Amino acid sequence: MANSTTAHAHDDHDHKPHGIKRWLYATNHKDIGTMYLVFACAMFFMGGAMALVIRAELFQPGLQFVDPGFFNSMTTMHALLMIFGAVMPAWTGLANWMVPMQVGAPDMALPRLNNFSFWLLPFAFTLLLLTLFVPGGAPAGGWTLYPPLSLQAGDSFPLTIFAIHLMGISSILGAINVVVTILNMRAPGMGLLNMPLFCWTWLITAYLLIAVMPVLAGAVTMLLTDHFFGTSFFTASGGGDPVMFQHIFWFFGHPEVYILILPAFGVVSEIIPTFSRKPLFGYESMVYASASIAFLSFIVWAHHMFTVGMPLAGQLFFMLSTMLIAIPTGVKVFNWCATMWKGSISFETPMLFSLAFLFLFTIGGFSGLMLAIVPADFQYHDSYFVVAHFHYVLVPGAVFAIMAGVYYWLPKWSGRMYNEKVGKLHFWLSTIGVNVLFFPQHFLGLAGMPRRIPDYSTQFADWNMVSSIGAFIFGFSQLLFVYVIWSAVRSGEKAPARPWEGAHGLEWELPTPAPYHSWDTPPPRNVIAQGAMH
Amino acid sequence: MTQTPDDAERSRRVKRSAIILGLVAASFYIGFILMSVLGWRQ
Repeated sequence: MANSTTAHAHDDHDHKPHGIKRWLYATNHKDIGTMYLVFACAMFFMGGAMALVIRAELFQPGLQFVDPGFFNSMTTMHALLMIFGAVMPAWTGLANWMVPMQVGAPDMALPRLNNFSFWLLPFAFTLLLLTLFVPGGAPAGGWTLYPPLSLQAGDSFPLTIFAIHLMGISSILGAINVVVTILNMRAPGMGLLNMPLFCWTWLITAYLLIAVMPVLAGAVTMLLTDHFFGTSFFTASGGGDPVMFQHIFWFFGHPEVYILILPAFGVVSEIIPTFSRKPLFGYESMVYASASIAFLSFIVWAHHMFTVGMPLAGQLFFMLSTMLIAIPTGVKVFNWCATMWKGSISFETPMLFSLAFLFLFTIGGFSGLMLAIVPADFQYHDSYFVVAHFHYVLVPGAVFAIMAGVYYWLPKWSGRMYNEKVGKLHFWLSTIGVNVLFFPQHFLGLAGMPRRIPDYSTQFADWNMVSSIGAFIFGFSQLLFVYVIWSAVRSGEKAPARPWEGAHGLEWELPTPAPYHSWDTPPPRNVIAQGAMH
Repeated sequence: MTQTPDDAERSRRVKRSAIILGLVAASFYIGFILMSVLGWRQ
């Protein structure tokens, strides 16, 4: 009943601008969310193409296709594109679509700022991609930009720094918008502890972004002044300290990992209860666990730097604080399992991706615990074990959760159902591909293969070949994802208002597809109470 | 569309919290650079 009345209330003013102006001057959260998601998808494929160049080169020992300098550029650009161009904008796109609908707000609190945040990104990434064509080539010193290596870059250096500044400004403005929206625009009657977990995890992520993106900006500004204005923040010859850069960078870099993964926890916490047909187990503990993870992320940064050298007390502190993160993360994994316990589970594509997230992210978490152990880290550091670890966290972790979220909410966005068979094919090819790609990298790292090298000893040949085969399976299977979405939006079956019978939340109280302007009048309290069945 | 007093109050709160968060971000940016400048001089 609520659906039909809401639908009627929205029918008479569902007008929207048309043509290019709709997108250029967009202030509607759904349009901006769509632009973010399309942009992220484009960057995902560009970054993925770079990954395939890397894996093609590593298919067998010796130099096959690219020279070592270009190989290093590919590793650097792949990371920058995937982190700042694909995963972060994809989360901001999902936040744009879902946060106002889930909190009962008509739009984001600052719509024009929202437009500006998005449109900074194409300029930032155009600058970054232009570095591929400047003398000296694209940045090749790794995404961590460690000096003195990064200071030796050619003409790409100022372009890269400016691009990172623009990405940072975009992220900060986007984060401010999310915080302000959640704190000020919630429908009357929706308390903070009534909010869906996706909003909670995004609120915490936004605070992290506001705190740490300026730190990255400060670090790269100092790199810039070292390069062009004669300062010596990080150059030892002028009395500076390159290790200080590493401290500042990882003070940003470690919370950044949680910026990439916390919204994934939120998405999975929406999907698992839906397809288990049970409320989420331990809602409040999920909120506190997310906040604890965010807090701990600020005091663990030097575990990335054990081999640089630090006092024993420092090593112990950073080792133990890192291990502490396993506790709130364990709470989450326990709660997801407890949610499924005795549930009436069905395995549609969003649930399959969420379950793969649960298993495979946990593998990444465990290898993270291994890396936290100081003496063990001395062996693993800068090896393929580290590459395997963070790819398990970021690909079947963050990327799978993004895909799960897109499959889950696509019917609400587009009013059309995707093809479940092709969705499941996409899932299985992705899951098999990602494990064939990354699991052997654990063995390579334990056997001593360093990361960021274009050539290697023949003892590493077999697992590199397996890993490259997995890369091509995973890479090409992502074309199915685009096909599923495209075919659903063009000609999918009409979706009902609540396509998943176990779904709760305000977004499912709206008609399908979600009207261009939703919640112009706040949802009634009984609708909020009905939606907030955690 | 006319603004109700509630809307105006909410609009003020939105602006105020956005400005505060922006200032927090700016202070982190400047703070870390200042910290490095002071460390560099020692």
